Amino acid sequence: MPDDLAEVYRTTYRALVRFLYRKVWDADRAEDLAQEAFTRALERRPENPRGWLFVVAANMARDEARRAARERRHLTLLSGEQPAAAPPSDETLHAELQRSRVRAALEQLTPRDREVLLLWDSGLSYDEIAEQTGLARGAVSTTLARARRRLVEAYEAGSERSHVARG
Amino acid sequence: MSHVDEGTLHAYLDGELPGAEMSRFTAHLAECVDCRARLEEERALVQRARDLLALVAPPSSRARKRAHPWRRLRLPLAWAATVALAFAIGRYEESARPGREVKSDRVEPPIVAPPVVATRPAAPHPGPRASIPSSGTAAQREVAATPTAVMAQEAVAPPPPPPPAPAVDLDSVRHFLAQAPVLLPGAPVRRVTRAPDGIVVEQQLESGEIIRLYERQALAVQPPAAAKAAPQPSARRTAALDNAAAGAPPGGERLARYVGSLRVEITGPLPADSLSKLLDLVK
Ligand SMILES: [Zn+2]
Repeated sequence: MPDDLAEVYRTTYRALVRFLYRKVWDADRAEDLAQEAFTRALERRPENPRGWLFVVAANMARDEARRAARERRHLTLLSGEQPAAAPPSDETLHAELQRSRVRAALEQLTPRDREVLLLWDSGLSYDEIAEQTGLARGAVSTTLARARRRLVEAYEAGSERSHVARG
Repeated sequence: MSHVDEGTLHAYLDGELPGAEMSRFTAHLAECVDCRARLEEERALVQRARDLLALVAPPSSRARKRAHPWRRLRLPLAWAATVALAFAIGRYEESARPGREVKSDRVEPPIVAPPVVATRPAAPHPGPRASIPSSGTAAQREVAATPTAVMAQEAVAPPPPPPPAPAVDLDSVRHFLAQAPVLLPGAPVRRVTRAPDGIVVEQQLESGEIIRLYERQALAVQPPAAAKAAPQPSARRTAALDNAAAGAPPGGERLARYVGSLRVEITGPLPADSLSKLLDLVK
């Protein structure tokens, strides 16, 4: 791998996986897609590899959604036959519940709000986000502010609902 | 002076407030108790959002492998069951039990220079793919020229037995690849053959399934200069995936990854996610 890309790989790979994971919700898949994005970067040598990688990754995640239905069958089969494990602890269940609420909250954001929030959380700067999303730099901060507020509100509304539901 | 807007507060908290606005911002905050209070609220919001996002980070690979030992190469029932749904390229053969390498009882022809160089768009595929009709659509050829070519090939179902190819040994392969081939650890090598611009290593898993690793020098294929343009919303990728979704057999997946300077593709009679896990193990 050329030095510049190797450096980008070192600094960006985990962030790219995280970014993808929050779109495809499968850790293995996220890693595969991140690898594929780097593979393409190696062949294309984009000028701004970091920003480029996130754009390509976002596209791949979108395409990935179309595959999801096809693959779900296998994943179900695989997970359905995992060796029986000890029943999950309350702690595990609680963490799992929280995760699914955050996921639900994220998915309530508008695509643009979510994209900007995830890109920021992946370590991209306002300038990079502006470049990748086509937003004006000034709009990045207001979008982020709104996205954060809505994420927190949606998460808390989800928690409220489930508390009510449980009585 | 008017109050500081929400975006400015977030930009400040993110360390992204341009220098020109910074002095105005701090001057206003010094004299406005309301905006100071708002700044603290927004600070808490930023932190809260960050904490929530941290809850949905993917587990590290190592943690996942610990948590799911069944993902490892030892093939448990889960895989066997899935594999039973798929067609198998190779069946368990007594003559090729794990632990015995076949290469030792073969006569190895010496490797000569690659017969085909730099005919990228028509790059032949080894193994089962070699029998894809050459009259494939233009679209298929188009994706075949991209790094994601493999995805498009999935739609071609089920691979017939591979055509005979000259077997070679791992040592001579080193010359050809300019480095040792990558292998799945722990799985016996059943056969190594030459492909026009690379090699194909067949390895046998514990379950008896045969998987193929197609390896070639990554730099042997350089993209045309035009491909360096800005990222495109990967129309080709989409086409490839659409093809892939059109009913590929579970065993028809073909996944690629760079390992060092080698491009390694893997095929076999396992579902795609299992193949990709295998590819993870390639060293
Ligand atoms: Zn004020």
